[in-house]
Amino acid sequence: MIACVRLPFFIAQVELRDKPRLKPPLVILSALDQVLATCPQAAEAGVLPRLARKEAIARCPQATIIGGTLPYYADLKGQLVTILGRFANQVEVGEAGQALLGWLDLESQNPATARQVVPLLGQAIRDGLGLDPAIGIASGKFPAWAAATVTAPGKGLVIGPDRQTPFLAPLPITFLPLDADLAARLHWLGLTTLGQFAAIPSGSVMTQFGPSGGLLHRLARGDDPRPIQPYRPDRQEQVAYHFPDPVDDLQVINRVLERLAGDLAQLLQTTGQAAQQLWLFFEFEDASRENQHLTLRQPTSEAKRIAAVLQGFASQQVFRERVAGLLLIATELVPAVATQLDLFAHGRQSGTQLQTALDALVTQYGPAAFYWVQITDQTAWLLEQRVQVRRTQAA
Amino acid sequence: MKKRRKQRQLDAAIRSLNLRFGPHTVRQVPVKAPTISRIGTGFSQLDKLLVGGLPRGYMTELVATPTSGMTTVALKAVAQAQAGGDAAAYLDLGHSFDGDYAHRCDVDLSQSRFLLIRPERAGDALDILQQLVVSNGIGILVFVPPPQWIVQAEQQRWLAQGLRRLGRLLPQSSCAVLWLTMLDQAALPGYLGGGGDLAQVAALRLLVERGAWDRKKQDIRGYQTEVKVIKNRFGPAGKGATIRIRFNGTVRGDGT
Repeated sequence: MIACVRLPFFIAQVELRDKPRLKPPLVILSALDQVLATCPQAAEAGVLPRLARKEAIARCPQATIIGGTLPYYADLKGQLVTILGRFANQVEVGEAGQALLGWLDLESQNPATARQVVPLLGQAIRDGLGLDPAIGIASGKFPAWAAATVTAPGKGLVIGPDRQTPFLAPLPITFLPLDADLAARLHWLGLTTLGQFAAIPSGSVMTQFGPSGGLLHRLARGDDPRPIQPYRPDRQEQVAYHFPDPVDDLQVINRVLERLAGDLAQLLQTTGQAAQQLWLFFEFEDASRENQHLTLRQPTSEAKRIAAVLQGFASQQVFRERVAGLLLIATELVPAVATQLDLFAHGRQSGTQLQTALDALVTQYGPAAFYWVQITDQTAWLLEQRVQVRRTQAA
Repeated sequence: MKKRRKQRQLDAAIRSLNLRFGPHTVRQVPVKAPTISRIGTGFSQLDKLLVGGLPRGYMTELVATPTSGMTTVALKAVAQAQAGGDAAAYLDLGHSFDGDYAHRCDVDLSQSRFLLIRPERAGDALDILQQLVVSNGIGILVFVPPPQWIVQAEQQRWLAQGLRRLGRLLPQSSCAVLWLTMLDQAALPGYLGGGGDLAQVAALRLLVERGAWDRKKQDIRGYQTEVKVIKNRFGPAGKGATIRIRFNGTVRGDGT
């Protein structure tokens, strides 16, 4: 059976947990000054992700507006994976709207056994993240998610294989992952519940809506063929320094930042990566945190360049309190491709450059995505016999 | 005389500012715009419209309905780039690449001249695109999303970020990126009227619409296609050109 863990309004809940002085309605903005996340009250007022700050304020004037810290949320997502990993070998983490979702394969088909997992799983997440999850358990990802969605946070719902169809039948059809076009078509056909959609013969659904409609039809009947996709964490590296005694001397802070830049550069070079985005967190004496970040034009793993960015951060930072610690995080990591400066640009062949880039890409994404194409027999009747597509191989 | 006096006054002001705040504080921007290297499309009318072809170091978006000739234009541009010594890559998210047709459009499919990429996840596609652009090993890169590609709300942020990063990386490379957007007739007006992230990043947007069939008695020998400039960062938009695509064993444009 598959368990689905749902943490609704995840980012807002995390901010409210970390900063008790904040009161809802709460709006969290991204680095682009657009809405990243909201609490339920702000969402009810019509504040949606990706809205501009101005529009968000117009829709919910009483909202408290703060900036979000993406690496921190990614770190918490990683923590959820670790917690779920204690209960299952296969774990998937994803997002749906503003909710953070986690699926795990319990490797048991017995609902009674699965029911015993619910309180343990809930307690582990409460202890690890300090948030109340809604837990749904069923035989597939979709029914498990539906069970977690109709369940209140802090509760669990186990749906046995024989109860899945009656459980799903009264739920609204919007539970399915529909695009706008398909949602409109189903609305015009008067199909409002999953049960109504599931009752249509499969052949008719395939004729009307094609293969994507076929999958939705299977989901509506509680038959979800999608396997659990292993979680691939957002790659990031971090280094930190805690002062024995809090300091407010910019020269001391700059010297520590130089050291952190050196440590991070060494870490990146050892793993053959370069960072595109740098985040610097200042931890103050009163346990509050502030951060600054910058997206670089070219990814780097050079200590000198990282240090220059960090010192720029420090010169812009307003120090309300003495600094107790510094945390440096490098995100959006890409493989560092070594380049040799040329005196004569034409000396390098584009084919060599392509092969170098291809080697890096094949290493990163696997050989299944990259192909050479070859014309084999141009006169053959079948297209498949005229052209051959074969995988590339890293040098 | 008046113009010369004004120039003298400006020079004096610049000199005094540079003396006061250090050399090169104020500089005059050269009047002449930097020249942009371009890749021919293989269609003389279209090249004339685009003042030489598709710009390197920028993204060009082709918007079209099915069977309008968009893929042919893209493949012909790939063939032209390869004729100039460049390698090409085709990021085929829609799994619609036809090697035989590409060959008949004169695309050189030999190894290390043409790379076909079919990533497992759409999320990887933009990363791969960016890395290929940065590598400088590719002269032209064609990005083909699946037909009627609708980006989910949660993917919008990822797509916007990726496109903006690509917009920053492209001017540093000599790669021309061709983004092919395939829409149905109903979705086309809404898409063209919208100002998505792609519309901002693309330096050139071309609308490709099929015109009359080219008939000879009962046979169809080809068709005419209208290419209209919707956005042009290098000149006026709104102009159009008619190109002819003819089939006769090999696919021929009017300029080849």
